Amino acid sequence: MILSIRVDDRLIHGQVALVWTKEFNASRIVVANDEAATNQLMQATLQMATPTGIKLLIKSVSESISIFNDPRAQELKLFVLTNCIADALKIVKECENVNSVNVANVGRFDKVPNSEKTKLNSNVFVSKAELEALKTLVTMPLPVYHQVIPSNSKVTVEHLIKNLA
Amino acid sequence: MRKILLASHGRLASGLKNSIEILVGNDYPIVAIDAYLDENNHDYSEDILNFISSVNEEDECVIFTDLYGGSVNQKVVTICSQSKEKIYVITGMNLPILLGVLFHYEKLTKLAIEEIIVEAQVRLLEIDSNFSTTTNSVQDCSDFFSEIKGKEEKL
Repeated sequence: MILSIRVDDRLIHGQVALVWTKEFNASRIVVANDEAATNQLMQATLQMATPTGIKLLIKSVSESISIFNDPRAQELKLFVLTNCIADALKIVKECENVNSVNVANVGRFDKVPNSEKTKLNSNVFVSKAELEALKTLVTMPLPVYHQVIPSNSKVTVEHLIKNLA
Repeated sequence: MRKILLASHGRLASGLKNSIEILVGNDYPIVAIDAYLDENNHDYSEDILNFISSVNEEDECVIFTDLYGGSVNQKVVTICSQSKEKIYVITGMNLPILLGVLFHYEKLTKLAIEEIIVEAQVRLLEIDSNFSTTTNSVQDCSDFFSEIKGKEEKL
């Protein structure tokens, strides 16, 4: 079962390691990211960010989807990270066992110029493609919200995009 | 409640507090004293005293200072030695030690603090040609699905 998919352009970092793994009492983190799956340096830095005692798996998005549909994954509490909304959407479409999606930090490191992005709030900047993915994501039958750290209140993504044309 | 004071020459104290807020939120009672910044020669001893007087008997109190032997640390040590409250003073503060103390959910003891300090050391990272080749296990599904010792995980 996937406790939550967090969309975070930093993947595993301080906020995730320090507070989110505790919040979910998660002992297994999956990074679903095509670049990280083939980049050993990214793997080493992500491993560095992972708290002691927590298992980390780094796989491409498509491989991650087959792993989430593996019977062994149904009995475990998994915390999943993607670095973009489109990847989270792919997982939600192909896996039934996702509890929620947290669109937390988006668009700081995607190298798309700010002029081509829409600012939804100070942590979420979406390109055209990401915005389309987000609009589809909110139609899926699961909670989709924005919450950077647990002490911030949850804001629904529906609310974040309601004023957009 | 665990009450925390950070005291530094300049903005290290409020800077650390700001980093904590970004990383883990502002639910924690942290007071920061940035000494020697104001133009009115403010005597920050009062701020230290005010903090200590806010501590109740059931509170745990930790004061972090920036530099062993520095004047800020001297003021803290002098004031604490005259206080009847139990106060832990930790010097040479950094972000890991602060997080370690915030996230220590059991009662604070001298031993516990010493252990957190060991974990919070500055360290030299060896970023050599082997740096990225030691993490093969992050791709290994059977390792990932294997049981974690001592942890009950089934839903």
